[in-house]
Amino acid sequence: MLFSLANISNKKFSEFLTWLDDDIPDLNTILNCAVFSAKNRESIRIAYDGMDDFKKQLHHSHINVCSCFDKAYPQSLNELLYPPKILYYFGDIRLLQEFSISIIGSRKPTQYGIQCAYHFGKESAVHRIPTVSGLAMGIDGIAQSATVEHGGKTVAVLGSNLLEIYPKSNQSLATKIVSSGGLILTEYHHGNPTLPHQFVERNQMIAALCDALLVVEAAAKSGTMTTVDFALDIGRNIYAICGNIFSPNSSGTNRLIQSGAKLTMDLQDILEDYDLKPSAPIQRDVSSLSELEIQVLEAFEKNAQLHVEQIAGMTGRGIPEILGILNVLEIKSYVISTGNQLFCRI
Amino acid sequence: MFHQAISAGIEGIDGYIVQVEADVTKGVPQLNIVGLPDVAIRESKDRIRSAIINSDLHYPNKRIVINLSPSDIKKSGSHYDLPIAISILDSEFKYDEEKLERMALIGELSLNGKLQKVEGVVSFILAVCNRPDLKAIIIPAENAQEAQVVSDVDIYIANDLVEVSDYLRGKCVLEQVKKTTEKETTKEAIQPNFEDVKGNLVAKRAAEISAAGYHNFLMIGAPGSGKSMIAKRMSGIMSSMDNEEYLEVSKIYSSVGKFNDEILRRLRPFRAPHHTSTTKSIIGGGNQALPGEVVLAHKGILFLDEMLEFQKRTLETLRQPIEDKYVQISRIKHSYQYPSDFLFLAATNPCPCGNHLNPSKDCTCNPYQINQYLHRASKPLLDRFDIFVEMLPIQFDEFKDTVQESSEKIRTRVLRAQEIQLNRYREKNYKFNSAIAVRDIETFCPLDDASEEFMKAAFDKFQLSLRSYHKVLCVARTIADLQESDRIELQHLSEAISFRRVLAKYWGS
Repeated sequence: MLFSLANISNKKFSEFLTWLDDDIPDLNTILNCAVFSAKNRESIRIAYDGMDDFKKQLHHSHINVCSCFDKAYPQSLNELLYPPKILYYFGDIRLLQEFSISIIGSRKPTQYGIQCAYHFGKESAVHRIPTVSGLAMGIDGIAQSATVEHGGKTVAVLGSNLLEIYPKSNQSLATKIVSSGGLILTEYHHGNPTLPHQFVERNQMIAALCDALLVVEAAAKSGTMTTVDFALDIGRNIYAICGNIFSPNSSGTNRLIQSGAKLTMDLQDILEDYDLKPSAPIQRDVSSLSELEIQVLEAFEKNAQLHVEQIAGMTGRGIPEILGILNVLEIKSYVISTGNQLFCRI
Repeated sequence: MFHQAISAGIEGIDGYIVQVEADVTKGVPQLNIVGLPDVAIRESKDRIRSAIINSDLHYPNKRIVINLSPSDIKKSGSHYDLPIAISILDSEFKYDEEKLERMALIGELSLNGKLQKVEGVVSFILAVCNRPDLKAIIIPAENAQEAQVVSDVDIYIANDLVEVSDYLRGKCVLEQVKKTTEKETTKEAIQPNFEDVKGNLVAKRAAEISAAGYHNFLMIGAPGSGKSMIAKRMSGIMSSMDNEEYLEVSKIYSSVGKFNDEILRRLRPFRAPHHTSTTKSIIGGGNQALPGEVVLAHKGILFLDEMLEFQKRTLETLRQPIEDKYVQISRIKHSYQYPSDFLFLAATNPCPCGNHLNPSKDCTCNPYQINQYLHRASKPLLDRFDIFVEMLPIQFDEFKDTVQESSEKIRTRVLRAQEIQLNRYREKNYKFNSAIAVRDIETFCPLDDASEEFMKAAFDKFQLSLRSYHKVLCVARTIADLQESDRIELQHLSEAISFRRVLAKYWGS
């Protein structure tokens, strides 16, 4: 914690660890270490004085801490070249020991991306597999909210600190993640401004923490693709969803498939590689639905996505009725709105 | 000798009676006008002299003083030409006093004595109506159209100065404006018509609800998705103006000289100012504190196309007139309160390039730009909309060949729903569902347990704000009225929610 507060980089810290003997050093030994520059030493000294206050603040904000010396520290992170020295978190850290799938993708997804992210987020929840993602706008947030919505657990790795969740619009989702038994963690302590490079480091963490990395939508040059590179470096399996060849948002994923990532159409495609058996799918009980509701759902049988007008045409009902019924079905989690009056069956 | 004629002036949009007094005495020939006249009135000296002489009438070569009373109000406009000329001629012809005292005169003179069109005729006539001692008014023939609006006094039309003079001497009779007290039903087809809009059924439905309950309505969608098409057809499905509204709107349009055929046919005004419009042109103002677009849209529709392209300041000033239904404009010399009770209709792109969330085209904006763009409209302004609809430039084969519903059909349903509302709120100071007071909402929009539970689930699932609750109920009430249902059913509520979700989607809850 001392080094985190003193803003010592992970790289310096790793060097320090190799220099260090097993026993826990006191302040003077640390300050005498050749790894640190004069500036570092100064900030370590200041941080040392501020430690008590900082601990109180953490306690006050109910922030939990896990350092790399702790048992709960996930071993998978040590696979990184410079693993984070400390993790600040809300929620259940034991989640990191479980088999998990990371669902990542563009911050500006297409309708198709939204649909896929939602589908896989939900499927993971159904199969009780935790998802790992970055709580970002777009695919990350959608996948995680889908998991939470269907009673699953999800791990959000932040590039900002815990008290300033970025983007702010996902604050409510963050609260839901914790209350549903998920985990939100970051290596950054509060009080420091959030810098762009932190999100790249966050991507590294996501790559390390998951067992399988599923890319939903990504342009050929994007933040998502950096995550993929990190994951490849430490030997994670990459899964990708194929997309429209003309859509720039699928150019990255299609290229991944071309170069060997597994084309994924179903969660089963991932699970079989790890010899995991899917839990029995829940049979939807449609007997409680009204005649019209069933009629609307039947319209979805041949089409993944339908427009309100199409549904009205297929069922022969009026627009007012259809608009009403679709909301009811969405609340009952049979369909999902993908915007622009388009709906998908889930 | 002292002579007198009666005319009227205008303050804001309201008229008032002005006495035009003329004193014709011996002395150096000259014409002086007092009583706070503006430049147009001062210039009338020369017009009047030429008009009288060119009409082959005798202009007295005497010292003439004209007083416009009450003399403490600043007067403007060229319509005082006729009363001034008549009061001068009175010294010559000794007109029938009885007639002159009971009749207001309005009209600008051209140099050959012809009467010219003036602004504000409806306000003048209404001012005459308010004075029991006045029985009639003479106006220029060109203003006859707008004069049909009022029926309480005798309105005579004249073509030139000689006709008026002869009439007052009892030598001829003037033509009266034909009175049209009955509502002129519009037999002709509504143009433009909803028949011509292919697809976009959800937006059409929203337009119907909006027209029926006077709900402010925002359309958001890519370019070419038909937003403006829908907006232009909105006034066609609304009820025609009743007598009171007709009079108010006529007064406004007449006072700015914009009276037109559509108002005569009792069609509601449709105002669509361009997005480069200034705050003053929208709200009103200037030296004379003139009415702006919000006033011209009174009892009609104010449509802001490309709403987010308007200046932020301009948009925000709309909040007060929308809420209060009037606008107060104060300048150094004038302070007027204008009515501005309009249906607020707006359309916007979802981002600077217009293709954000469009499945068939790619958006080239980054998330920051989109966010900045959408937040040009403040939360309080967005809260004034009841209905939000997303629109897409796509059409489906299912509806390619089907006949689209005509405006006439939609209008019938709208009128029926409005009748129900007027009946329900007859003891309240509001007329339509959009204006239900918060304290009355439980009385008029009761929910059963199932609906209540559904509302809770929906608000939780779709992350709607509590503020939306009231709005959703109002819209659901209108939907129920459109189906002539006494109670708000779950089905109505669910449909109402779908018009609210777009707000949460684009602007967060």
